Amino acid sequence: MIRLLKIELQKYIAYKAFWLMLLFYTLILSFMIFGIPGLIDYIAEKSGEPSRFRIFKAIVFNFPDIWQNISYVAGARFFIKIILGIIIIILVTNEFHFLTIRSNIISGFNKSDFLVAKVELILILSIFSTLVIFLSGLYLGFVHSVSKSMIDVFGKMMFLLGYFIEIFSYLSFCLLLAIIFKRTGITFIVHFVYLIVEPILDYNLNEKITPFLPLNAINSIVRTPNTSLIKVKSPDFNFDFQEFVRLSDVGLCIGYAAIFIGVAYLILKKRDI
Amino acid sequence: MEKILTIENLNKKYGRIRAVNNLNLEINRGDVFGILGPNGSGKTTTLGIILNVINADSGRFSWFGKPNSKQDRKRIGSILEQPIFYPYLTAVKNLKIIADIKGTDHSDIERVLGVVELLERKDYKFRTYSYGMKQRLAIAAALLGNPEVLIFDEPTNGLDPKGIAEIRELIIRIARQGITIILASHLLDEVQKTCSHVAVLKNGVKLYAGLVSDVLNTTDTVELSSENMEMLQKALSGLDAVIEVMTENDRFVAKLKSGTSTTELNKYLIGKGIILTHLAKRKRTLEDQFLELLTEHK
Repeated sequence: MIRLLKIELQKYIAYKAFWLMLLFYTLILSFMIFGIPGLIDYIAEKSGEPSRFRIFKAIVFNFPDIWQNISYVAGARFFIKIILGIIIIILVTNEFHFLTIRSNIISGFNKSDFLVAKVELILILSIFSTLVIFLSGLYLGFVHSVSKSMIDVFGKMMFLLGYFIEIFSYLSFCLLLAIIFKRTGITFIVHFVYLIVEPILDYNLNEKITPFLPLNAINSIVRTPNTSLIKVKSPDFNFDFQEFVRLSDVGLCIGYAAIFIGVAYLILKKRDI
Repeated sequence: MEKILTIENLNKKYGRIRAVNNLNLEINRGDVFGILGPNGSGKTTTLGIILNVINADSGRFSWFGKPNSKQDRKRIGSILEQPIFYPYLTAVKNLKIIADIKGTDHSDIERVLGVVELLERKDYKFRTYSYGMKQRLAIAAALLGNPEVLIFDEPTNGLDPKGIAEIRELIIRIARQGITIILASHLLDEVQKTCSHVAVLKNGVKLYAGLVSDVLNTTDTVELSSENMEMLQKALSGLDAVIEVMTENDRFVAKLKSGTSTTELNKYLIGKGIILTHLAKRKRTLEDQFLELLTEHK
């Protein structure tokens, strides 16, 4: 496992485009997270009711709710994580474009070695992304949170694990697309088209089925957070907010990741390289 | 003799085209084995199958007399149709990846770069290389970890005459070290100059396999001329050992059944009162043989 990862990382350590894309991703992600306080301040000023928004700010960055709030922002829709998806699509389709997958196999890889190395790459990127969220959360929390007790700081960190699984399953989806379509451009197109198609399906299909659509499943591990401002429950506004990461959501996501990777393996195995 | 590669009843279809048709082949340690055939005869497909990048429809192959595993490929070095490397990495970094996959020590990298004379350019990115250098880097990669078998697929494709000569010389040098070589080529001359054994493929079918020297000597062709050509022609056509007589310039070229010696022929002609002014044995080149094999199997 470690051997495969070492070989895999050697392919990218001197690859400038990879680092640029990763830097771009990190910047956008941090900008998004660190931009929230500024954005709230800005709205507060414009609204003429600054005190109300100051409370909101305190709530958003309060431990332990902060973990849910920032993992929701970081994973919301596809605005940011799509950059990671694009990185994976480029790195995997590169192997087909340069034919280096062939050279890997001729030198002594099995097709499964090739795939496992790519899964490890996805793992590393998911860990990296989670780490960025974790560190930003720690910083913002210690700056803004009212409570700084250990129990609160480490409470609700399950959401970070949920976020990690969300990113990992999404990247497995990208890996599968890249292995099916092999060409960078076509894979991008299919990916974007699917991003449009699934909401249409979501709209038209039975509500019992829609939570099982892959991207819906991936996006619903970390749901719209429950901040005190919108916590108000009334007979007209009765909506259950998520307090914990649900095991069934996580299970569904891991199931999808397993299917994506399994199908990718079967395709690689059957195909002439 | 130790068997390096055994191929049994191998088949591969692309749609309706049979790229490899029930192929059987045996290659022994130390052979310099040429796989000869025109473009599209199934050479590259066969190599792809034995290197596990193409799945056969049916049939088997085994390396080193053992069931198939990825460990086999670590004992084989291959140079395929085109050099394949990560364009954005330097030669050394590319070779490190291959060495790590093969499980070979990195110290071998300097050696193989030295063999192909690329040490000076080792820290340049692959995409800055000329075609000849790319090809040489591919050879360096194949030599990593002292493989027992080297596979060349059209190794001189796209090279200039100097490059071609260098590569052929290199192949012969490697073969002398006892490394088994499998060389696919559509160039007869190349196989004739470098190989000990040859298999001729056409449309995926093996037409012939054996020693290159056997192919060269199966039948004999002699050139003859005499002051009295008419008598000579009559005498030749009355002889059982003569298969065919053709006129070439002012000479006859006669194909003889194998085993017929020129001495016997001369004696027979003298007995008929014909004095030859010219008698020469013509060694059949592999090219004649090859073309003949291909036309016979149309």
